[in-house]
Amino acid sequence: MKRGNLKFIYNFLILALLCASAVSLHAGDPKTKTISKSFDAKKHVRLAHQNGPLKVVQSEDGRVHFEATISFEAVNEEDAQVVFQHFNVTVSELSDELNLTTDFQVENWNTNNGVTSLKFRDGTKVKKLSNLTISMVLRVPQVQQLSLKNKYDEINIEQSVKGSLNIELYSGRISARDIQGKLTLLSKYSKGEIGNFGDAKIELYDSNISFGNGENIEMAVKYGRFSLGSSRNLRLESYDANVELGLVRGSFTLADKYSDFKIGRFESAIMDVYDADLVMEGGQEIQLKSKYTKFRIRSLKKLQFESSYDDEVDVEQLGFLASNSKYTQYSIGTLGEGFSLISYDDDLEVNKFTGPLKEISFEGKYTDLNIPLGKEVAYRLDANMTYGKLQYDENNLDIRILREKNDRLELQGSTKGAAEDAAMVRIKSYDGKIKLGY
Amino acid sequence: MTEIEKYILEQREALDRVESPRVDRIWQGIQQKQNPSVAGSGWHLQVGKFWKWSIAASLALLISLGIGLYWNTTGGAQQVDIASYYPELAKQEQAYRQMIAQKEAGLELSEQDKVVYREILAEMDQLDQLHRESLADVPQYVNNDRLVETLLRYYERKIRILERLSKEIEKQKNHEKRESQIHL
Repeated sequence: MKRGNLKFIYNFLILALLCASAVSLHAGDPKTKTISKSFDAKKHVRLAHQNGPLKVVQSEDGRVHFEATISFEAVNEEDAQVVFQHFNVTVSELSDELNLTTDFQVENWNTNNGVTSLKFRDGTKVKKLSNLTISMVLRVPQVQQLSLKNKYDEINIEQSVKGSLNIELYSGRISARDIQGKLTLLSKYSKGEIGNFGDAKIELYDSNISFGNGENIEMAVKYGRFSLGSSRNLRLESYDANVELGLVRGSFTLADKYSDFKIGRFESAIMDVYDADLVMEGGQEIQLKSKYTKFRIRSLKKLQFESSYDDEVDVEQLGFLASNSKYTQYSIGTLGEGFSLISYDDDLEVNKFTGPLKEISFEGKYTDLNIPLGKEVAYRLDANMTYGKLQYDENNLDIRILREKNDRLELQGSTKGAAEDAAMVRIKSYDGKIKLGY
Repeated sequence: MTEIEKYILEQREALDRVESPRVDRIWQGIQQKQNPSVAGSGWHLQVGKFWKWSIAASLALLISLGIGLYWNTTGGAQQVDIASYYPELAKQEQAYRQMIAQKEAGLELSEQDKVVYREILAEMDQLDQLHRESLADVPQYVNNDRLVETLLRYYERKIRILERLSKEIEKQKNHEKRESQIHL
């Protein structure tokens, strides 16, 4: 074969390859098709959408309407027609339900460099499509229940919802106004804003959503962050999340691991937390079980730990502390009624005691206490020390029993002028430094 | 503009430089392999022999391109990485993978008590499961930025979980140390 022929073959092959890749990258012409239908409204309207945004707007005529538009680029009209033939919105109607599903009858998607080939369920194939999107607009009147589902795109509800709203969203964006009924939300990898709502069941996974106010709310949250306005009752299970909560008017139950919280005021709370960080305005009472957690609380009437392990507890104003703890540091700005503490190697520091004193009960090992009981505070004292040191105002104490032997000290008495039913201070300490008074 | 878009734009030039001359280089390589002594100096070759080799090379190239295309587009069982769909993210994915491998090696995962850390290990399983679901969606949603973001989030989340595990292992060691001091 001649050299010229060989050159030609090479050039031809290279050109063919380049042409093939150029054609494969060619976007083609834009094509669109819209399907629109109308129905009588049902109590429950469901719509499952895919491959594009979903918008919900108010229907002005009391009927349900949808407009689904498929758009893409194709290299020829024949391919476009094949795609159109396989695009539909399936509708099923029951007595109380209208079910709509965006139906793009694809069995297999092949995409390379942004160019898509499709094999449909009937075996038909098309190639070289790009930028395929299906947008859906649902016009719906106020119904008892509206259920919406989407993936990798948005759900935008432009109207307030008087009934209940169910949303399932995966890696998308949700925008919804107020919902008077119940909100059920399952969100993974999604973002968005939701207005006020009634009761709610919410599950978030790695999502970032801000909510308005709600009523009775059950939430399970993993990763991500959310904010919630006020609520009546809140039950929250969270894991490694960033949480901002407003007022909880009723009960607040929290089970958490590894999360950061900013919490407004609440009536009463039950918490089981692990390695969390909580900043709280406070409320009446918290019952707690915690480990490795930091608490910063502005004001609280009663703080009750079922158990505390290696926590940091910082309260500006506290009425009464009850705890069973190990390795925990308590720092209390002002303390009102006193405390009951079973302790192992903790550290309790009270800046100021405001009274009126109700009770101090302490049983601890290796824990130091600093309780600034002023001279004006009347109490009876029953102290039992092994090792360690007890420091008190000797001039202000009438001692009834004082026994000292080896490293043990037993002391009973009362402050001068204290009534017989004055508040009791019971100290049982092993190797601790106990300071009563300034 | 999202972080990913920024990253892609930043890397675009470099990636284009790498990818555009690939076909020419392949052909040059073929030519050099056939006759290194004459490559680039003309066409003084035995016609018959060269013709067969060129057909074979062309077929081999087309077949390999075909295989590459197949693996790129089927979303088959072989696909476990993001870079196979989004070559422009290869560097970023590689960096994530290296970081994960380093952290896993540092944690000596096989040595850890799977019962003690079962909750965190279950978190990893759940994360892996969701990642597989997202990967399965790639052919259908390949141009979707949110999908790309979700795919990359997997690595960030995995690193965070490994860091969490590292802290838990540290806590467990501290706890054991404290308890042993108490008994002393």
